[in-house]
Amino acid sequence: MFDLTPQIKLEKKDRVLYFWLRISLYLIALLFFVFILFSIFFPNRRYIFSFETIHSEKNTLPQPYLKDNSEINQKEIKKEGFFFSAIPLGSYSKVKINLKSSKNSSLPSVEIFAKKSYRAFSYPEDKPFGFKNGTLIKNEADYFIISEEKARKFSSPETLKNLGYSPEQFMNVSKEELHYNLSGNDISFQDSYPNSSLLKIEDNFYILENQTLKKFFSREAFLSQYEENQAIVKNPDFLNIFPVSEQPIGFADGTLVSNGISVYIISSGKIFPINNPETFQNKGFLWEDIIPIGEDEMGFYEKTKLFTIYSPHPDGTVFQSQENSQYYLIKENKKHLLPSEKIAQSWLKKSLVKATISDTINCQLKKNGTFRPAYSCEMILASFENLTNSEYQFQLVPADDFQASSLEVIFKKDWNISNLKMSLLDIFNKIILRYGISISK
Amino acid sequence: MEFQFQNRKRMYLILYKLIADFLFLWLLFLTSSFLAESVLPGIISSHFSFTRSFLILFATMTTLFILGNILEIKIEKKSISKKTKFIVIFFSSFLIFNSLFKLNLELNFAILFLSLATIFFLFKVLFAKDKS
Repeated sequence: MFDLTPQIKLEKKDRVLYFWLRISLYLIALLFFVFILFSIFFPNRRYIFSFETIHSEKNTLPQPYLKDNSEINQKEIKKEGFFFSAIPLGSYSKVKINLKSSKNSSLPSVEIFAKKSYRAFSYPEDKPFGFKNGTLIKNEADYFIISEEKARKFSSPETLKNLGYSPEQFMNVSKEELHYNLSGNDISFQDSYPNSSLLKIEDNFYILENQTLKKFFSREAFLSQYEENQAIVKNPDFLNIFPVSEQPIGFADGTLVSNGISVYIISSGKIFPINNPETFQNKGFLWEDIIPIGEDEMGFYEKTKLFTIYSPHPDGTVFQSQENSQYYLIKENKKHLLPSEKIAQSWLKKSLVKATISDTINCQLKKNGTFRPAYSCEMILASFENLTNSEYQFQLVPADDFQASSLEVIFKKDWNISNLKMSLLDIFNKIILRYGISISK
Repeated sequence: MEFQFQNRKRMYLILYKLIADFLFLWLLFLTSSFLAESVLPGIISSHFSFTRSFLILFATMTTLFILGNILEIKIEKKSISKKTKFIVIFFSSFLIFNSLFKLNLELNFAILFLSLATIFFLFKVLFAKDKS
C-alpha cells in the first residue's frame, strides 16, 4: 500500500495498528463516497416550516392555509386543522411528515391526509354552471340567449331577425344542457336588447350590461371570451341608443398574456407575473395560448404578486378531469361542474388544463422524539405514481387544539433500478441542456 | 514519565500519518466534486455544502501543522514535477473554461489565457528561488 508520509517511520507493532486504522479510514471514505452517490441518484426532497418564525425565508414549505384558503399566521392550531402543499418535481416513493409541538404544549393525536392534485382542483365542489352569459343557443326550433345566467327565449323568428341575429349564430344544444340555466322571460318583438347581448360596431366589440354598453378594450380581449360570430353587427348610430360605460371589459379570467419576455395570467382585474417556465409548464398551461399584449392593455390591470408554482390556478381556469373527462370551472375558491362539452366551450376560449385527483391516503403521527416532543409518520406514494402533476395536498387534523413548533415534509425515493435509471436520465438531460447539445433521433 | 512521553509520541505519529491520509482522501473528494460541479452545477453542492468541505479541509491542515510542530517533523521541499504541473494546469483550464461556457468562445479563450498567465506569474513571484 502506498505511503503518503514515507519519511515518518513507525515501530513494527505501530505499523500493524496504523495499517488497520488506515484500512478503516479508507473504508469510511468509501462509505461516504457511496452515501454521496446515493444522495445524488436517490435524492430526498425536504421541506420545512417553522410556526415560531412564520415569515422566515428559511421556510421552504409554503405557508399552511385554512379551509377558507386564508394563510395560517400563528402557532396555535385549532381542532379544524390546516392544509399545506408541497410540489417536489420528479417521482417519489414515500413521504415522511415530522411535526414538533411547542415546548409548553403537548401534541394531541394527529392524523395526516394526503392526495395528489392541483390545489384549485381540490377546492370543494359547488353548484354546476350552465352556459356563459351572452351565449346564443338553440334547441329544436327555439332560440335563446343567456342573459344574467338565465336562458331567455326569443318569442318568434321575427323577433330574432328584427334584433339582427341570424340562426347560424346559435349553437345547437340538448334540452338537458338547456336546463342548467334557469329560464328567463321571453324576448318579444317590442323588447329591447337583453343584457349580455354582444355587439360589433365598426371594429369594436361591446357587451350590454344593465342596459349600458361596455366596450372590450381590444378584439383579442373579446375573443378571449366569445366567438366573433356571436356578436351582432350594428351601425355607429347604435351608440346613441345606449349609454357607453367608461369602464372597458378586458380579457377573460385565466387568460395567459405576454409583454416582452414576461408571461402573465389574468384574473379578477389583476395580472399575475408567472415567475418561471417551470411554473408555467407545471400548471398545465400551453405556450400557444399566450396572447401578446401592449403596455396600454397591461396598464388596465392591477399588477400583483408573483404567480409561483405554489399559487393555485386562478378564477376562470377550466379543468378537465382525466378520470371521467368532466369539465370544472374555478370561481371564488370553488369548483363548479360544467356539465357538458358545449357548456365548457362557452366558458373556454383557450386550452383547458388536464387534471387528476388521486385517492386520499392517510397516516397517524407517532411519537419518536427523545428530548423534545416530535411526532412523525410515513406514507407510501405508490398509488400516486401514474398521476401527471406533482402537487401534493396535505391536510393535518388534530384531535384537539395545540401549539405547533415546526413541520417537516421529506419526500424519499426507493433504491431501485427504475429510480436509478430516471436519475441518470435526468442528469444526462441536464448536461445536454447546459451544453446546448441537440440529439437527433 | 519517559515511557508515557514515548507512548504519546508514537500515538501522535500514527495520528499524523492518518490525518495525512485523510487530507489526501479529502482533497481527492474536493477535486472530483469540483469537476462534477463544473459539469453540472448543483450536483454535489445541493447535497453537501462546500463551505463545510473547506472548513474540514482547513481544520485538517491546521491539525496536521500543529502535530507536525509537536513532533518536529520537517518535510523537505520538493520541486513540482512536470506531470503534476500539467495536471494542475489542465484541471484549472477545464474549470475556468466550463464556468464561462455561456460566453462566446473567443472571449472564453481570452479570459482563460489571461487567468492562466496571471496564475503563472503569481506562481513565479511567490515561489521564485532567491538567487541573491
